Amino acid sequence: MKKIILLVEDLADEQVKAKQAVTDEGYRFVVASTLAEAKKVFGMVKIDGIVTDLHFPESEYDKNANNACGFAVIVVAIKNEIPVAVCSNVNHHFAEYVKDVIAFLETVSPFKKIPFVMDSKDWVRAIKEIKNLIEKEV
Amino acid sequence: MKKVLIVSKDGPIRGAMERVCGLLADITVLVADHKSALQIFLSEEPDFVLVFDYEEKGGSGFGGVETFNILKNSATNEKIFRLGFSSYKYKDYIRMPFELPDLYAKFK
Repeated sequence: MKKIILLVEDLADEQVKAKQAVTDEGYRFVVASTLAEAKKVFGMVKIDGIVTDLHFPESEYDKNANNACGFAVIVVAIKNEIPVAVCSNVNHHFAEYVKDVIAFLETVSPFKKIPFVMDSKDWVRAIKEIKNLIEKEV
Repeated sequence: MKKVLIVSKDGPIRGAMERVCGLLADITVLVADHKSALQIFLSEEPDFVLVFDYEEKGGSGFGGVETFNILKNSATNEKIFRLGFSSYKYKDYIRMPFELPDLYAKFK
C-alpha cells in the first residue's frame, strides 16, 4: 500500500488542492476536517506524514473555525514520532506567536523540523517538505 | 465484482448486512467496525461503503458521523452512504428501516 499522508483541513476547496498535491507525489491521502477526526484517524491507520492547517473546528459539534487546533495535531504527531508540516494562510506579519510556538515544538520533535508554510496555502510546497522528512527517515 | 464495505459498531448488524448483501450477484461484502473501517477502506478500495450509526445529535458517541466524514473526505471514486434512524435530507443518506430493493438500487 502507498504511504499515507493525513491532511487536516476543514475547507472543501483547500481539501481538493491538498489531495491533488498528495496524489501527485505518489502518496495516498486521508482527510480529517476537525481535531476529533484527526485524533480518530491516528487510532485507525498507520500515518506516514501529516500536513495540517492551523485553525479549524475541534469537532463536528463545534463550528468555531478559529481555534488553533493545528497545535494539538502537531503535539500528537510529535508524541507518535510522525513528521508533520503546517500549511496555513496566517499572515507572516501577525504570526510571531505561531512561529514562537512552532520553533519550540521543533526542539522536542524527533525530526527537529516542522515546516511552516504561511501567507498562502501552498499545499504543493507543504507536501514536498513532508516528503523530504519522510524520505530522510527511511 | 463490486465490493461493498459495511461499517457498523454492532456485530449482529454487520452479520445481517453481510448475509443480505451477499445475496446479490457480483457483490463481494466486507465488514468493519468504526475503528477498522479506514484501514479496510484504504487496503480493499471498495466500490460502495455503507456507514451505519449516523446520528448528528451532539455527543451521541455512535461514531457514524466521524467515520462517514473521514471516509467521505478521503474517498477517490468510492460511493459512500450514511445510514441512521433520524430524518436528514442528504442525497447519500438512507433512513432506517429501509427496503432491500431500495438498497440494492444504490449498488448500480
